[in-house]
Amino acid sequence: MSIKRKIFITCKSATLLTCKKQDNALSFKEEMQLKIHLLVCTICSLFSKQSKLIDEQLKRMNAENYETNVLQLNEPTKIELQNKINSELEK
Amino acid sequence: MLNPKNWVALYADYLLNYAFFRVRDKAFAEDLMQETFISALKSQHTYNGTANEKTWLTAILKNKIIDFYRSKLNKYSKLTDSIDNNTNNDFFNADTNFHWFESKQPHHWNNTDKAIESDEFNIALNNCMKKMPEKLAVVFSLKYIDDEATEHICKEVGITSSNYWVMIHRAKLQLRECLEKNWFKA
Repeated sequence: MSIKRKIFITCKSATLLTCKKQDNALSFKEEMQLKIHLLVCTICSLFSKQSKLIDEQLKRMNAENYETNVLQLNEPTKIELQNKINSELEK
Repeated sequence: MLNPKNWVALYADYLLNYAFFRVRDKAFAEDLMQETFISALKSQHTYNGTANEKTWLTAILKNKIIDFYRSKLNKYSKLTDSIDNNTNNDFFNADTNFHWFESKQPHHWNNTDKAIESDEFNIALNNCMKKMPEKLAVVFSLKYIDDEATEHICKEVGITSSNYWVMIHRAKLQLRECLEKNWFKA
């Protein structure tokens, strides 16, 4: 039983390892366990594929968002804030 | 050289957006940006000129954001939904050796190539991210926005790496399910 358990992991573990794999955080043993599980489990294979797709999209989206200024501080607030800084400087 | 007289004109919008992107609250992002300038003024003497002004200010803001994240995670870890072996058992059935619950199983997505290029997909993804519980959102932001190494994230916000992975796992399961319901099946 214990050897069997070492080779065959649950879907719960396999999906967790899938997340870790995308970060290159798997040990050799985990890598093997995941490989074997994905060979026999179509549902977890699907999860793995979709999870990868989500990761790629998130990274792309964040890279784009990073370039754009969504918010802009209005002028009166800016002036007020700079005045506050200036008065701190004079202290 | 630091030149605080130009700070607002040069960096206010940048810092505001930097914070907003990470804390997802406009008023709070504005507070953080203002506090950054005040803290920076007080610690001007620590500026040694190796980083440029913008990088230096951003680092101060980043520390404030990490403090905020840490307090969020502490607050939540005290609540009943602690992270343990039972987490995610709403997706996997403990009685069937942690196989997927049938209602939670992923389904095939059609035309994924086209889908990911569409604006609607990004909107769906954004909406699903917004639905994410705050604790998970915090860990997710660190991972995907700043692209930080796992060990570094755990150390900064004070969680163990196994807790981190359980949270990422949970966030991923929820996000995938939400996308399937709201986009691929729509």
